[in-house]
Amino acid sequence: MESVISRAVNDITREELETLKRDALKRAVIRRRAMKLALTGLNFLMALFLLLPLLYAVSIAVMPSSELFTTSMNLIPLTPTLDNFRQALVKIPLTRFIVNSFLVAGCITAGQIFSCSLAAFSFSFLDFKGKNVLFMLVMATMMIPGEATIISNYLTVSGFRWLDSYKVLIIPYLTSAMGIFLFRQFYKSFPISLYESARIDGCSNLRFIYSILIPLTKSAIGAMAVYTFINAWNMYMWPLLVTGSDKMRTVQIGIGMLDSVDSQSISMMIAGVVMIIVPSISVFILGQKQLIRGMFSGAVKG
Amino acid sequence: MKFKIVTRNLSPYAYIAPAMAVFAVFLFFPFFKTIYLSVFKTNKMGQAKLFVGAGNYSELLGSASFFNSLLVTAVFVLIVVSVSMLLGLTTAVLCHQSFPGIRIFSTAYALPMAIASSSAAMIFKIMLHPSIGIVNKLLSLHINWISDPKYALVCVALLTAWLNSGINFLYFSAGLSNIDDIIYERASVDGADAFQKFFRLTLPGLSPILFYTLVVNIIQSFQSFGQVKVLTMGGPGESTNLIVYSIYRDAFFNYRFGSAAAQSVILFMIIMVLTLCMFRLEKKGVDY
Amino acid sequence: MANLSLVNVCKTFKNGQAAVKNFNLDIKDQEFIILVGPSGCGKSTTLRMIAGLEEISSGELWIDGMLMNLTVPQKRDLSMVFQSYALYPHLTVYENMAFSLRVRKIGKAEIDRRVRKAAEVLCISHLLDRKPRALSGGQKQRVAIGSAIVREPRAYLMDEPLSNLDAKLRTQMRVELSKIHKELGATIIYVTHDQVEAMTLGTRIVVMDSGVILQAAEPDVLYRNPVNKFVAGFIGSPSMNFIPVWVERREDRICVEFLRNRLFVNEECAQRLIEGDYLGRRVYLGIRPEDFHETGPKEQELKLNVEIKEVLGSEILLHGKIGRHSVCARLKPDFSSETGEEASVFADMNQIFLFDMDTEENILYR
Repeated sequence: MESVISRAVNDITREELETLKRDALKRAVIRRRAMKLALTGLNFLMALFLLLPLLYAVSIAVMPSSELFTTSMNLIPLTPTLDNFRQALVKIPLTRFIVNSFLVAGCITAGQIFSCSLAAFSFSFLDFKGKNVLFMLVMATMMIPGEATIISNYLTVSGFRWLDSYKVLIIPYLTSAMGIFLFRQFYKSFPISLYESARIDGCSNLRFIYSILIPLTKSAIGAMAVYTFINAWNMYMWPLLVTGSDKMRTVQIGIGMLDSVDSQSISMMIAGVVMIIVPSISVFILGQKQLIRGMFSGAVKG
Repeated sequence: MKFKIVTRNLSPYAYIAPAMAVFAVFLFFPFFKTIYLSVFKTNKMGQAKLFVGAGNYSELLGSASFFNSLLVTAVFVLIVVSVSMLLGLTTAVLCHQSFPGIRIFSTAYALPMAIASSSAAMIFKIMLHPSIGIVNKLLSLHINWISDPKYALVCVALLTAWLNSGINFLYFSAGLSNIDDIIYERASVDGADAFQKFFRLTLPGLSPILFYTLVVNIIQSFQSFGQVKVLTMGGPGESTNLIVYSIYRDAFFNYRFGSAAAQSVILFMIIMVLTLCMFRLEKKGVDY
Repeated sequence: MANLSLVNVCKTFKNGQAAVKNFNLDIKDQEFIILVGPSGCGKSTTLRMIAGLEEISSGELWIDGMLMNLTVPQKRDLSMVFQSYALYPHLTVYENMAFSLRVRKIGKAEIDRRVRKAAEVLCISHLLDRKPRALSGGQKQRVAIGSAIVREPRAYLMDEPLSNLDAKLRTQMRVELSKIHKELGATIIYVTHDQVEAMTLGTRIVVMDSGVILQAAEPDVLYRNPVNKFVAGFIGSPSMNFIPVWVERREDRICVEFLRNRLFVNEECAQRLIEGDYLGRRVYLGIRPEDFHETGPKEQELKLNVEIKEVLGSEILLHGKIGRHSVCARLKPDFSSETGEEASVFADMNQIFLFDMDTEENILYR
């Protein structure tokens, strides 16, 4: 042992070496801490930058309009107030809109999970004529942008005399190619023998879905639920076209009624926006883990 | 007995029936109806009245407004896709190594995906307000962002990029965690520094997901509507008249359903061709 | 090429678990050092500390007279072969091998020359354009080694590089590794849990258990003179038989007794046992399978109840019981015995080992 060390240290003593070592270690620790701090700091700045619109919205929502209309910096409200929220609720039937949106988004979410999981079950476990053609057809629909068919859809539903109703908001969105694809990806990871042995044990298809498939695909269902709910809540173009009355408006359309640029209504409008963003953000934050696990862990690899 | 066999043969179809019914009525049928409408002139009720063959298309191809709309859309898509992917990549890389508070930051980075385009547009409207908006205040400028044709498109595009950055963050994070950590260890011993690791390992390692994200981003940004409707109404002039907004305006303001249908068909074609091209390119380029 | 020196190196993980304790080792230039031990003994951690992939909690790592504790891996000038090969999945074999040269900004012609030479040595010249996913395990393994030998680093670190290969390939690669070691004159630090690999490859073997070096010595020394029962059991295949015995004095000679068997030990053993005050106490008797003979003096005879007979061609292995102790004996193929029968085998009393019951240390350690 000593041979190597002494060669390195023949001009300095053991004590000097120890001091050098301690200094180097201390510097390394400081450097590592600095790196970690820099990384955190960088992340903090980035997050601040990306969340600025949201933070700004919250700030304005609790700001009296007198404070808003200045040319000086007014990032943080001096006298926070909830007045804007109260006024927004009075000026437009926001509660009704929120109820509508919850109803519509909830139904769409439940409907998509139902129809997509059934279809995916059939596509992955059952054998039938035209299966591949039909599946290709479903996948091909992913390429059709919803906006490209929206005119015909509008004409169709107005022909049905469905305009301005819940069903017109819900029924066209009761399934999605992406949902079918997602569920099928999940089902593909189960061996077909799982299904076959259940059938031999006398398990019916529905029973198989209910008692085996659903418990096994909870994370996919969770991901699907979060994703679908948020998208349905945020839907804009379709509700804009097919709803006309206050009774049927969803939040994204209804909030537009607050959209004007006089001083009073700006803070009111933003207060309204904050109120309708809160549900979708809450669902997202609560379901983020599910969403990532279900949607990105399996699907991305393929 | 016979009945039982019939039900068994039919049952696979029964399971796909709900989904297929919705697809049939609200996707396949309107898809073909759009193509059908695109070769007709319609009345105000949207009923096909006069067969004009390729008339709607030739009118569009001869119209400066439509070309403007295509050009605006192209610029818009370019900005949105590049900025949002860059944001997603940067945040994913920033949030890849562990440090205290990483969960909060990753939630923050993904958060924009939960926000509606229309709500976001309303917030941006105030942020970009010429006198009271925070953007002018922070940059000490006096620009009327939204009513200046020079800036309006960029503003709408950046807003959209912000909205899309959330899901890109998730895609890239998933892509990063798919890269085996051990190759970074080997690269360290091999003598690669942080930059070399990023450009020689991380980026190539992300290439499959990068490609997928690119396709999704392009398709998604072609479909932007809410932000245009709320923020600029296609204006000033026609500087933000994206193709979907142009379809909306032609159909529901001018009641020219035929022309709008023709535009829809063109939109569909563009997206299809882009998607197919990129998958063809992928087979050649991204070999992993 | 380099001298390495580890002085009192310790590794404690964040959860407080100590993986390596007071590791002291001097590695001379051109040595082929094997770190061997059961999984979780800290051998890989030690290697990763040398590479710089794992922080050294305390102690010193010297490479060529320079203290390297805090040096980043890329500045240590080592190369490493990983257990899972760690090939870059998006690069061809050629680019995989060239990677460490490219990041060092070495000229194209030079890179080409070195990669092609290494590929030739390893017989993978025809694979240079393939991607890793199109390679078999053995080919990947060669590429991993090739990536390491294109450079002339101070030392090569290898972390169980052969563990994912099948038996035949492993034997073949062992020969090649030995060849490479001689040709390059390289310093190699090699981690394995396989004692056969350790014995055949190493110029020196470091046996580790629970983060501690038990013994560091040349292969034949380890075999002849293990420091304790663990090393004795670990080195050699099939492994040494251990039988608890009583040390007694009979007919004025020292013997070991178990059940109804009595074996007289030789002079040297007797002296050691007396010196260590083992008379009347229990110790472990260790006999390697190959130290049983077909013939011998009556007093060395043991009756083995054969349970399994493995015929290996050049030899046979008898697995059975002496009393209730499981014993394995390696004998000549013409030895007649059948499963279920009692066979007479003779223990070579000049080759036995004796281990302390409590400390498990080798009583005969020289």
